[in-house]
Amino acid sequence: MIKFIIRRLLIAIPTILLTITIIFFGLRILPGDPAVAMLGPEASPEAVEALREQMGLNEPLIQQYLAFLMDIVQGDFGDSLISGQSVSTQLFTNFPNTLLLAFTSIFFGCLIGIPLGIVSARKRDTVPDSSIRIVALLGISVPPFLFGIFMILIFSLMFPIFPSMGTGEGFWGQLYHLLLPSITLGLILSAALIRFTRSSMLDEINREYIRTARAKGVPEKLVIYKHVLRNSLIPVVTMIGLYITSLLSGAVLIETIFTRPGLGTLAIDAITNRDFPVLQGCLVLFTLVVQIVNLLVDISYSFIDPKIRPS
Amino acid sequence: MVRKNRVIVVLFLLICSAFIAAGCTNEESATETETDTKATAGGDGEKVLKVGLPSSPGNIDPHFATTHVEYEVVQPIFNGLMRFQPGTASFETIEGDLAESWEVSDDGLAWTFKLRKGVQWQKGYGEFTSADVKYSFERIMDPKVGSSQRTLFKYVKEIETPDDYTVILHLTQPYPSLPVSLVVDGLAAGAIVKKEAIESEGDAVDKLVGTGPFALESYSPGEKAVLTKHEDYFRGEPKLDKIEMTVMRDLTAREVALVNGDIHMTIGDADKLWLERMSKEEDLIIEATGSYNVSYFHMNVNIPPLDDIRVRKAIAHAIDFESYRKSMYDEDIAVPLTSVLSDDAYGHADIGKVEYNPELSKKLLAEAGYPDGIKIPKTLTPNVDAYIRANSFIQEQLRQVGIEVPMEQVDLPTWIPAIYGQKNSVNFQTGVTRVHGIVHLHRVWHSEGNANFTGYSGSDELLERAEAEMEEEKALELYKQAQQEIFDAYVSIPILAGKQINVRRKEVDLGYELKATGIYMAPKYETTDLK
Repeated sequence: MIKFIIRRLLIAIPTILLTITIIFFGLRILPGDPAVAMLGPEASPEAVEALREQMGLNEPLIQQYLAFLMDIVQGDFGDSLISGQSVSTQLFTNFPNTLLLAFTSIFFGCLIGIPLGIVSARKRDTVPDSSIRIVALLGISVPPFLFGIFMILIFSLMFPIFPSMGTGEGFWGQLYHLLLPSITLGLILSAALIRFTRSSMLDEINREYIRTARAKGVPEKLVIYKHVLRNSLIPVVTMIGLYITSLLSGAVLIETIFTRPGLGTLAIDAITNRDFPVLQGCLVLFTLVVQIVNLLVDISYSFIDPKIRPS
Repeated sequence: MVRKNRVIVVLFLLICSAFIAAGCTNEESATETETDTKATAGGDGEKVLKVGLPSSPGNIDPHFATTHVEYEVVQPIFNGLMRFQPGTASFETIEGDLAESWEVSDDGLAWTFKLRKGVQWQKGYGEFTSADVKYSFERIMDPKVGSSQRTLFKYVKEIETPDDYTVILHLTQPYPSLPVSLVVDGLAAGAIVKKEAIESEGDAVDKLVGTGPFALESYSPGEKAVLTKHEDYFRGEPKLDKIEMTVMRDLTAREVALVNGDIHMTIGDADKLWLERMSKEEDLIIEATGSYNVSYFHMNVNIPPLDDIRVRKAIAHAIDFESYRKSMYDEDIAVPLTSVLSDDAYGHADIGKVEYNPELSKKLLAEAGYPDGIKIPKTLTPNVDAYIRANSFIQEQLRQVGIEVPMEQVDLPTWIPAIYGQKNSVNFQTGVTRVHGIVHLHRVWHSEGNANFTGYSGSDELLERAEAEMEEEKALELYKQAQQEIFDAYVSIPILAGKQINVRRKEVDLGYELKATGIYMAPKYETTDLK
């Protein structure tokens, strides 16, 4: 297992390097000048030129790229071009909020999505199955921002149960402020999970080993939860892993609507201001998260199904 | 079963660790969160005014601030030599701020300011003197510093400080509109900063020290700025303890927070339906003030076929801007623009409106040699809702008379350099006008103006004369002539002047009557209170 993890980590290095390279050059192709963004459009060309020089934007691209790589290796993402604050500090301040939102959303997504998926599969082609499928379809179709606005209007304005903004203070305060946004994002995830769990379970239910288990007189509950569910979970876990990336982008919208600081809003502001160091920092962090999640997904397979445990 | 439990334990631990990380981060990002705790607690009787900012401020150094949200943060921290009387934003209501009195020499080349005595800097930096004024203005004027406000001091030759409480600005030519350059809250320059603070090593909180009623306590870009009262403020101790400005990008989120009382004030939306809905809320006060937001349709005279005035006229007469205004806004929120200056700007003169006449448009096109229609070079447009609606309307109206305008939607950072660099052929645009007519006219229609989007230079000589004219009556006449010339040149078609929608909860007592603002939201002074 350790060898497997080390091998996966080594494979991750060129992937990350390639992604970082694409990020660096991709951003430089974007129209818009960070010096203009910083000084404002009415700044004189001389002032813009002086600032470009000061920011090192006039250096040859390859030289900027090498300096960028060296800094990253040392964990230094530079300073924001707009606020002058260290990018690492900004990432460190914002990332835990996004991470927290992502984790709790997955938690709520699984809590709602997997059981409903099981019910839907077990009660195939009945009224509960159709109802769950319609709700799931609706959940997939509604855009996250619209869903977030609905949730705020219902649970913060019409029935003021949850706060509509902020992160809260202390453990309970944070949890209270986190509930509505994470349930919102979790419900969106659960919609996809319901459909996935259902179809995956239906695939397994029709397999021969299940028929054999039933023929042997194994109780139905045991068949479903011990055999069918376990084997159905592999594609579901893969899906959750893949969903992490879209969850991060969904978090951008949810963070915006619920006025929560996070990596998403930080990245959006960085794009608007052409704040290259901050944007690079966010994207590199996103890349790392995706790599780590993929690794965790691979490792989790071995727990779910020992047959695919790496030797 | 053991494995299942393990997965649950791992998931639980991950969530807990994320909570702890979030908690640690908050503790470690020191000033920000310490402030948060106090500000949001409210239980200790602190008066905290909570403001929702519609977008994130970037650089809040007052000499670099360019957007209205940046000025929103800057305004309560800094003073200028002059200010608008609270609740107003006009050239006629400018009064002394850090300057107690001032006089102008007969030739208009020397402005002598007598400064207030006993004004204290925030954060224990001592007493304010003329050296601070000299340093601040020289910082703005230094090309190496790169402040975009430099042009507002273009005629300042030398700054003399004969004593601690006197400043003399020596100019290269008479410049009667100088006072608008010296107020902070009209999107202008003039904020007096402290050298020792601004040149110190540290972040915005260490550097941005002013003499205003509120001091910057924490600034977390993209999230929040917290200001605390400056107890030694020279006009008296502020009534509020803190001002907490939170970035809330979503209009619905701001709306809900305002109705629920999570925030006290924000910028409203000029949209008809929004205003209708919000005006039903009993706890809110909605005020439409001033009309400094003007919309124009600019045409670049250097890009053929727009170099032919007949083509520009044909375009102008083909668009029914009056229907556009009426369909989008309430009659009293967006008023017709009868000159290139808004009604409130100093020196505004009623010049007229461009008549909607598609037949005339077709005739003019034929005269210009395009009887079968014409295609204008591609133009970039911003992917902002209000602009998308306006540009779609314009494109369709032009198509009906045979004028094709290819438009490519881009994001704001791409669009802004395109318009300032005069790359766009035509350009619908909304912006804030400066309160003094000649400052705005020079900025937008002088060939060396900072915001000349059209390449127009036909009124340079007239604008230069107007800018230097000391005698008020003659100056106003020259401003009028300039407005007429620009109008007749068909380079910028005036469309509408929109009012600023200030919305706040009833418990907010501004301490003055709000008639206009130079920065979209009602300024916060020492008189502002929460009842």
